[in-house]
Amino acid sequence: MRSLANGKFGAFIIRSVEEGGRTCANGLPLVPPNVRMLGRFQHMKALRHENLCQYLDLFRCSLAKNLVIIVSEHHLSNLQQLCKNTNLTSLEVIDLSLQIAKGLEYLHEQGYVHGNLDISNIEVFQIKPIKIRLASYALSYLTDFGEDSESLIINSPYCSAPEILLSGSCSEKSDVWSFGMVVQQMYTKTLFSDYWSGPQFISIIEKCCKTIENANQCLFNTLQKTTDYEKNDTLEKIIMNCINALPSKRPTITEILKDLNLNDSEIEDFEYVDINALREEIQERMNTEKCFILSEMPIEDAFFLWKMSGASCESIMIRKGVIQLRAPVSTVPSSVIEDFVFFGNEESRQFQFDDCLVILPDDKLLEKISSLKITDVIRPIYFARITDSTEDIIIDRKTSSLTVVIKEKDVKYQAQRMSILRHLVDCIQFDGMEELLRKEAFVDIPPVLRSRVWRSLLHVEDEDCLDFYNLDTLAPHTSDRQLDVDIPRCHQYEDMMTSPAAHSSLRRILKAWLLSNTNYVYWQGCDSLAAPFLLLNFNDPQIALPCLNEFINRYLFNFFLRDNSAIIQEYLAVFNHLLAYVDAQLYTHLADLGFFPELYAIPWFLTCFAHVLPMHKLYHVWDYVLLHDTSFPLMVGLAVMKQLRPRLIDSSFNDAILLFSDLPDLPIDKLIENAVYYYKTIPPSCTFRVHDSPWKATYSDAPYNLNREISPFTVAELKELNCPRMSKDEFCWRVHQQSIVVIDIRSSMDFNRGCVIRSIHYGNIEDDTFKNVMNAFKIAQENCHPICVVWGKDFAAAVRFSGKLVFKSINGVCILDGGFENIRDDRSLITIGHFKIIEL
Amino acid sequence: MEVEFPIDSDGDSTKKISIPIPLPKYTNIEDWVRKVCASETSLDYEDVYRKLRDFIRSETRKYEDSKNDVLILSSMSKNFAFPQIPKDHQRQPSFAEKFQFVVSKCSSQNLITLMQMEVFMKKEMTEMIRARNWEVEELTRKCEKVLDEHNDDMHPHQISMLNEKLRQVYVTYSHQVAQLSENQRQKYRKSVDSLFSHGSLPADFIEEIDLDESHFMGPATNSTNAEGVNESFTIYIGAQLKSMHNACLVTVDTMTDICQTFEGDWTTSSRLEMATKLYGRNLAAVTLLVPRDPMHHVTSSTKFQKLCEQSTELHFEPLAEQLNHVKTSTRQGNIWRAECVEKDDCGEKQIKPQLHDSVLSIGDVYCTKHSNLHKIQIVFHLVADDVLQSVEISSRHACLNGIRNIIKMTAHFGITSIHLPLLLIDRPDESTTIQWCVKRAEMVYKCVKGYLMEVCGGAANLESLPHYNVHFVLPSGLTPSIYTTIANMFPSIFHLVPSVSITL
Repeated sequence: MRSLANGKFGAFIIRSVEEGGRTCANGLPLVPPNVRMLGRFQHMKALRHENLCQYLDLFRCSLAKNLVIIVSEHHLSNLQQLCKNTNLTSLEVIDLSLQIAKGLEYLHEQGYVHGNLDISNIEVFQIKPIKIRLASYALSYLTDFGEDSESLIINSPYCSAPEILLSGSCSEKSDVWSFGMVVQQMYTKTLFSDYWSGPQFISIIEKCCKTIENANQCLFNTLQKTTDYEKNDTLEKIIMNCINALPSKRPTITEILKDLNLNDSEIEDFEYVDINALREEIQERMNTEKCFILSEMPIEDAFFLWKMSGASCESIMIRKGVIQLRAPVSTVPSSVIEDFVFFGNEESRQFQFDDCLVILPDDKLLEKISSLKITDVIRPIYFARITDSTEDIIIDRKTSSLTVVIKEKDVKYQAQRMSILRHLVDCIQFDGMEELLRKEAFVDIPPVLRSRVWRSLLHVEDEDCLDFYNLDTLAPHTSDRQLDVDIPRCHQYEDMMTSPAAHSSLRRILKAWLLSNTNYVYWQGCDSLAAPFLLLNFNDPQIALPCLNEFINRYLFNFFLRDNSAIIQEYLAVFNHLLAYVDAQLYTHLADLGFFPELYAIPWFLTCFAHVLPMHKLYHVWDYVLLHDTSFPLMVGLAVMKQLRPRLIDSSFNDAILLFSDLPDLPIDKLIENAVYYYKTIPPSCTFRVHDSPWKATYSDAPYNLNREISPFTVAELKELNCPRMSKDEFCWRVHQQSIVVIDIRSSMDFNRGCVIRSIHYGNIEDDTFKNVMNAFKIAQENCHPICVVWGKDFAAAVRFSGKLVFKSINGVCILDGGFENIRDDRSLITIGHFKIIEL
Repeated sequence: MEVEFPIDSDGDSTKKISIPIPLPKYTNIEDWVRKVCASETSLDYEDVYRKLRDFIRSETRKYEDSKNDVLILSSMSKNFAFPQIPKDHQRQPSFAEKFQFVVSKCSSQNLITLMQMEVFMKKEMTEMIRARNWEVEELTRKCEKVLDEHNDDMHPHQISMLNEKLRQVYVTYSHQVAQLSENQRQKYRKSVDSLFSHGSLPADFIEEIDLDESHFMGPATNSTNAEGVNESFTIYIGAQLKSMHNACLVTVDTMTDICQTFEGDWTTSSRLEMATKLYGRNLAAVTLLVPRDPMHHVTSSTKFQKLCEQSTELHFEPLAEQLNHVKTSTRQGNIWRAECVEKDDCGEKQIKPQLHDSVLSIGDVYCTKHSNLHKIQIVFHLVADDVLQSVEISSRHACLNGIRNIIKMTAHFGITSIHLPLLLIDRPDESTTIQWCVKRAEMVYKCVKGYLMEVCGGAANLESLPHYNVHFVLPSGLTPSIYTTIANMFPSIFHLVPSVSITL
């Protein structure tokens, strides 16, 4: 993980080609070129090498529609300036060449080319010894070799290979040429731009390249203005080879590396640091450096905070006059035809911008971060006080109780949370860390760490990622056609999801999922389900796949079998029972309409709401899903019903259909709050499903750790019921806890022979007045206690009676699984000679 | 080009896998490594990865080397293409930029004076137009009278004399109008220039402004249409990510009425409002239905043209000139179309558009911009055909594509308020039956909803969700039941935001 150190954030602009004028496939809007770039940029963000400046983000401008802004790590000094000010020894030149070559070799290995190497975009980030990083690389890949961009991104002609000047075609070998030119400038102490203008320089190249064979010699001689430099045969040979006119004659970077390394293999030496000295050094820096926290922060984290701390890149660029906007009214075309093709007034739509690198101002971020104490951010308490309560971990109680949306915009709060959670996920293998992580995740999950926290919560280990490597996702599959249809329609409001790069990655993950789960088939909705994992692990399909697998294994177990009706039907039946449990009135109304969950809830549960909620809301819901057992999606479903209740409660069948076909905007904080509330109040065993996942969340506290097993019912049997059932274990626990109201509907003879302690007898179930028990019900509902029906031999009577209660709008009704017979042996529960029939 | 990669396991080197070079877009080395690993068990992933990576790299290199060698060898005789080095663009600020500067930076007194100048100019122009209209009317009446008196036995020479006189009046006035426009335009621009550079107005211009507060004539104030519907709704758009918008149903006689400036509308404050909005991102637009001739407004001297002529267009080119540009771009468009047809000869029988034809096709949209209409800055002219008046159309009809383009333009050019003819007709006639209206309205509702979803989908970030005011315009003169049916249909197609908070 690279820390920001003394780096800055540098931004530059690329203009993409104008939208429109291209044919549009399958009726979907054409992907604009800047979105295509956005997708490819995700791959570039993953490039990590000691000698490469890291790419951080790509923004599509919203006002200057076709511009994109690219942000990368940036250092204030570059090699060109260094060469001007310092007299490099030939050893230093070799070392620098080696560093450049290493950077290039890494790019080439990864299948990229730099395409833009110049002495001015090699940035110096350390002076002693000199360390450099390449910048502005792989832009040819970003723009699909110029297909998607309008502005030529050639910085200067001084290092561009002849083939680039001719056709813009860059390759590994054009990088080799540029490398040669850079090394020559360092070696011969002649900075080309000091002596020749661009056009002059090009005419030199042109002249020398006329004689193909001697081009290199000609160039080398013409382009040195002084002979006063330390001669070095190795360097000279490398330069000569590199600046060969014909690409095939130039060596590869791999070969160059060998030559450079042979010459001096001891260039890298390790320094051993004394721990005490290091401690002192850190102490010293903490005391003297104002921005110690920031400079030690991972560069991605720092940029994430930067984004929250002030104006957007685009507005900075506009304010600085780098982007020159025109009023929209002046840019309207004369006519628009066919698929949004403009004619007339073209010139005014070309946004003008300065082709330069802008250093993004970071004073606001610095100001905010430096107001934090170091101990606020770097907290060693985790090692010292693992067993302590979390009280003191939550630093800022006031902020942490705010809604998650607000917390995600608070720079200081996020800085602290990111540090804590990064610390935790880094040492997740150690004892007790997982528990701590869960505790922290309950507070909230910082967006930058979501992928790693989720991975830890899903227990995806490194070896789980190996499965992916044996799956041939290129091979044709029976679901290909369906994927072709679904993928371009998946979460299309999210920019990234509209990019071809995301489409191909999503296809890769879905096909890998199908190949690794041969018992499952592709159901529509799988795409939405996989999308969050794709977005969080864009460049790591090997992680996205096991995460998706584990998520499905837990929360959507067997949902994707070819015949999943039994599983889904049971799920919906249980959901319906829970609805009756929490809102009998609404349940009754919908039952009267004949409006059952089959009509609306299948896409909810089949995709665990991924098809219903927009991504930013889905993340927060899943943050909570992952911290709970497999019943939590049901709770989210109930919370959605609660949001819709005011409109459902007097709706007609058609109103209801219409409402669900186009759900209103759901307030996410309310949704989660209610879901958690239901999770806490609904008896866990009421959520029992025969087809539930074999995975069980581990709980140490009752009633969650109790056996939830209840007698398996068929879907038809479940549909007979109007309320859930409670397991024996939970029933016993609740009776002892006095957190239940027990209604006994057996005959008074049976009741007197033995009954559950504190139970209420209601012998005549045909009596619809409930006169004697209403008060008990009221108290139960106030305390959120379940009302459990205990029955003897006649289960049908229990069903009928509980139904009556539900239709009387009494919440919290459930039936004891197995009835009195199931518990009669538990002596601690039973009392005899209980003459008082009604006890309030 | 495809290259064979030998899968080397257990010495069985005959087994090969063919790999396209260069690798297809959006596939990576890992995809192919996995293909190899899947084909053969007991392979070490890392090992295969290294081998295949080096293999693909060297094959790609070979491919590129030979391509570029040829390129260099063949073009040695020619000159190198010089890379475009960014030019220093030290351009002069445009009128639009100067005006924006003036509006945001000038003293309010100066700004008000500038607006008064506009009002005064309007007065001048209106007076001239009125004089012209009066004279033409007089003359016409005279002609008719003469014609009536002489019945049919009038000498052809006499008729042509009268016609000539009429024409003369027209020509004189149009010269005068053009002269006045040009003068006003020059003056206005000079004033803005002077405000921009010295922050003050030329004194002699200010003196000229002679505003007696008495009203000047214009069409009588619009008596608000009692008939038809005038309803507004707040709606959600979007499947997963929702954004909120306003939608209105309005009834007018013709679409053009929406841009009409009435007496009393043209005040310094209303001009000031226009001045602040004109170059902003909250523009308002209206959609007019027009025939295929791009010069229609001028040649037929339409109501819209007359509206534009009421005052000088101080910011943009006069209507006729804007339409001339449209004519040019129509020609360009038709050439482009012809090229497209040539390019994809995929058997689909398409009528080859005629080259250099400056006639628009059905569904094309042309745009004009205005600073002198009532609260409207952009006018979209949608080319419609007569068939639209009576026949039922499908969602694939070219006109609906035109509506789609209009809505996309709305998103593209900072337009937040848009008027659309809901029935795609300007005036009803005998063929507009209830069933027809309801069908058409439903179709347009649904299409517009789809188009709105399309433009709201690609919201760049969550903080700036788009918000549009969509006005569905109905013509007056339909039976009342049509209005109610269409208004009642609205909530069944669009998702209304509930008026009360639904959270408990």
